[in-house]
Amino acid sequence: MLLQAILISLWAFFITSTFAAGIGFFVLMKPLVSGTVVGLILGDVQTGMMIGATINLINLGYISVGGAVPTDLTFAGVIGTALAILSGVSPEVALTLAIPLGMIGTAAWFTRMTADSFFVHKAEKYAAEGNVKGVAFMNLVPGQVIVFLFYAIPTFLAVYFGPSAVEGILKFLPWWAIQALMVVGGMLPALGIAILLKYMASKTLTPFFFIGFFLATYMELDVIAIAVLFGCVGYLSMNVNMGESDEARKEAA
Amino acid sequence: MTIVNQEIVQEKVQLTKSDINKSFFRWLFFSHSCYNYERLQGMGVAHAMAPIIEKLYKSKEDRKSALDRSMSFFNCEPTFAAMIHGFTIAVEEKKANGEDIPDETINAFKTSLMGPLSGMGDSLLQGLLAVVLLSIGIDLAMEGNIMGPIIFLVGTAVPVWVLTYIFYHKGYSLGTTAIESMLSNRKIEKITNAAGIAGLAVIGAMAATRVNLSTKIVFNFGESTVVMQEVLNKFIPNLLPLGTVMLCWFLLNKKWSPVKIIIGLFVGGAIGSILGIF
Repeated sequence: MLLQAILISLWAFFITSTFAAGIGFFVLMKPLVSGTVVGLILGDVQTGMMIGATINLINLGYISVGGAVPTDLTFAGVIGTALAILSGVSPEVALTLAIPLGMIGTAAWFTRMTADSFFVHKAEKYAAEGNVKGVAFMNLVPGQVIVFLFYAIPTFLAVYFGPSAVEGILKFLPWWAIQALMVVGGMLPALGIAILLKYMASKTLTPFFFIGFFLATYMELDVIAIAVLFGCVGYLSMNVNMGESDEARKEAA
Repeated sequence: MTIVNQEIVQEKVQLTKSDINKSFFRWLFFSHSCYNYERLQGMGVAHAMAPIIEKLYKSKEDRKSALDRSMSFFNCEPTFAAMIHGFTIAVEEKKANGEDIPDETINAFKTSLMGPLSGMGDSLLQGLLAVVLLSIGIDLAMEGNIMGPIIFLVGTAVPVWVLTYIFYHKGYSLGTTAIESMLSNRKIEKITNAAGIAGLAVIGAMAATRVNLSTKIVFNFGESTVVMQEVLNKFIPNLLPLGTVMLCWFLLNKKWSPVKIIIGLFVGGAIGSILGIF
């Protein structure tokens, strides 16, 4: 268990740090991926993947603009999946577990971005000396120490000591409460979808959301089929004046 | 870079493809190493420019002002931002070879491109590619298919790497005018719309398949019983999931924060469950 807790905390560090080749934030931090790897470390890829995917549903609309994050994906995805596997809960309950974790994690994110502001001033001193390597060093090293302190260590503590606490709470919870958690877990992905809707929907394009919904509901098309179909529609739309604002049309004329 | 210039400036510094690649790798890896509230990606830009600055400028003063330029506030979708850096490198190279380009011009150019490039990058990568592949990935993963995370991983990582590389070199070889014409409002609008169509249809499908809510209400009329969910299924199956999404969307538009909505869903869902409605 000690070794697994260490591996999971190193995984949390890796995906949050700068060493993830530019795909940490975009790819590896998504619970779908990070949860699968946590499952691999804990010897149950299948469960890790399904729990990660469920946790990822509520973060479907996770779009970071200007460094503000609604939830911390490392905390929600890595710690959430690990605790869920180790305490043997259903994916729905895992989702309700991951939400508070993600919220706690925003504190780590905030600490990181605040601490990094201090390193900028140190870097400015190097810049004033024309010390290029010094500036590069300040960008690279101190920030990763912060990530280690505020991501790897909390992950280790949560994974190593957390499961027994979660199990204790679950034993204490009556059946109706667990059932309520599962209902809530089923509803929560709606928020992830709604956040995306708010970001993407415009007056002219909103019907495509309903078209997608009804095709999946009545014709039971799966997501891949709908993605391909409407990828083509989107491509075609570039050659017609669909969804253009009046100004753009005037501009064209 | 005219022949006249070459004759005047004795020590002409010429950047090679490998210099651009060094900068590209530093940007790819270290763009968010020291992400902070004050300059956001400013430090990452300075780091990416470090090999270029070292090669182009030899004096302390030149290096100092080059570092100052690159460390200024910067925030852009990192993949599309590569185009800005490629172009900045080309400008720095001209400047190092004696052309008179004021610092403000370079910074104004960077700042003016951040917005449009972020808009395009966010809608294409975060909005379309990531959302569609993530939806497909989650769908497969929940059925227990390991291809779910793999499709998402490969399908997102490869375009991010390849595009960042291409944009870096394209930015270097293109001029400002070329980038600006590429970013005409009309074109951005069309691309954003096309991305929106596919993205919206996919999240519509996700609303139907991945939100779970059904009612347990049963009406008793003497001998006959009416199961509410069966009635709903004949009318619009998934009406409750759709309704939940619409409610969340409505509340977001009413400026509710996501946290507040989560709490609302917790309270509503739990009470509904305890009362036997859900």
